[in-house]
Amino acid sequence: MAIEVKNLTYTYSANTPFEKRAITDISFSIKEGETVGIIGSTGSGKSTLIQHLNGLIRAESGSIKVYDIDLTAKKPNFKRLRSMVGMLFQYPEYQLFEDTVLKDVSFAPRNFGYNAEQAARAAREAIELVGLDYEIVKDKSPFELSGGEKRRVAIAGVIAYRPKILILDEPTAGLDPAGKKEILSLIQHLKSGGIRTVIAISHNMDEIAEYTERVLVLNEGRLVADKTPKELFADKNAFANTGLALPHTANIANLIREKGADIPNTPLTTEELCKDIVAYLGGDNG
Amino acid sequence: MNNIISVKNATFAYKTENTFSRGVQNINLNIERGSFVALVGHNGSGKSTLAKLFNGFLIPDEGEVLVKGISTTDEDKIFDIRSAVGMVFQNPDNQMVASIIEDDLAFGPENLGIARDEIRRRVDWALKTVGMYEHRTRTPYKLSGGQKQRVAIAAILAMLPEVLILDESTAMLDPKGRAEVLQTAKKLNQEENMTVILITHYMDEAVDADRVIVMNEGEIVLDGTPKAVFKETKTIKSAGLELPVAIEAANILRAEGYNIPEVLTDEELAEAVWRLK
Repeated sequence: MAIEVKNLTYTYSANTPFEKRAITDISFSIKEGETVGIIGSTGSGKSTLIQHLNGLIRAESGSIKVYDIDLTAKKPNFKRLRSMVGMLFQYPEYQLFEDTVLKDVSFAPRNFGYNAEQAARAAREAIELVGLDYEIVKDKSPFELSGGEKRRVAIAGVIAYRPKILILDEPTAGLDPAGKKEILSLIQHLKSGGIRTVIAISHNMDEIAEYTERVLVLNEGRLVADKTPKELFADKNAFANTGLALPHTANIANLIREKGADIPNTPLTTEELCKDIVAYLGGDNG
Repeated sequence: MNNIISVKNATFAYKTENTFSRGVQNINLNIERGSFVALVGHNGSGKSTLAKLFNGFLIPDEGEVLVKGISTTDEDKIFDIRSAVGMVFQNPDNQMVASIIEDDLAFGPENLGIARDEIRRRVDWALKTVGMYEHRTRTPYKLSGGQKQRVAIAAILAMLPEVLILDESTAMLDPKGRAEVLQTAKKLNQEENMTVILITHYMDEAVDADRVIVMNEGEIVLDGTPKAVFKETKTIKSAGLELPVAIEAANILRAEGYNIPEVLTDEELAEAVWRLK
């Protein structure tokens, strides 16, 4: 098991007048190799939850294990944990700081004890893995690059030390459609390059439907669903009070079904939707 | 005069000593008073540059931008132009100045030297219009993203603008927050006859507009009603944009020989499929 969370509860500013319960009694486990989406409206506890997974927030009650590291132990090996769990925050390009791309991407490997030569090699591999031309970008300032390129440099900075688990908070926020596509196919590509498990927070249900194999839904700090996208998006009532919406594909199928049509599937891509509609219409081309 | 904004042959480039970066070229455009216009394009297509030309934030290198007939180069009237054209940006946190919501709204009109009673009236009206009146004495920092963005819109409304420009104002919000901001913009357009210019990457936000303008490489490549614009599949894709799912699916079904009429929304596609059977 890559991650095991049991009965996790966390309260901000506990025992003060500003006390605020962020997450309540959350349990789940994630197997190595899975691609898991986390959805929930603003304030549902998503960010609090993922910050627990690399020890940025210590568990208050309940337990967390990442591989063999027990995060509720008195002194967990945080350095080892963080070399295993890469975390990419929202708008990660704001955290680029070095004057060249190569230096920026080498920074984390150096911190994890790579010597200069090893770090440079790891950085080069990471830059190539995120699809940038190493010779062209290595000596450029990260700030000369486009928005999508900057974000890829930020991802390279995290994967350079080859974490087993990659956690991304809204990896496509603020990007245009082409930029979104690039980042999403990059994330899939990373799974062939050493990153075993991917966990991504997203507000975009169309992306969740198309790119994840399992979805955790948080609402007011509680885990209210843990399903495959197909199971999850089959039931629009499951979203009633969560502030979330169905992806367009599932929504269209659902609207046709509500009119009385028999569409048994929950399509997750436009192609699947068209197939389901064609199956429903039969050979009857109008 | 029916055009609140007129752009005549405007060109603008970002220049420093040794760099040059294209902004927009040869833009000719009229924005009709009371219309709801979606301005779409990929990052770097020039849409935000164009929006900044609309309120004199940027001045064209060539050509001219007129707001209510006044040129944005008219330095004596630049404040009139800026108060007529209000802009709300992507991150609401960057737009808040005070620690109490109603103080935040009063900041703009106070700076214009508006009388106290009038400020009170405007603040109350603006907060009621965006549905945040009951929160007026709270701090904006503890609101949800959608609520914050509605407060940011209210702060612009308190200046009584005639045009509201939303520059990717929904990009950081969750689906509920996005819906709140869009509903507020539509309400202002329909009930207050405010001209709204919505800048967005989300093509499904553009389907409800009266008019969609697509930018690519600093130029306008499409300009028309949503139905007319979304028919131009090739141009939209080459501009780095995607069609809304319903339109894309309708296109695929039509190519397979099904007689699907023009649709824009999920509901319209569902209805079309249901009628076909």
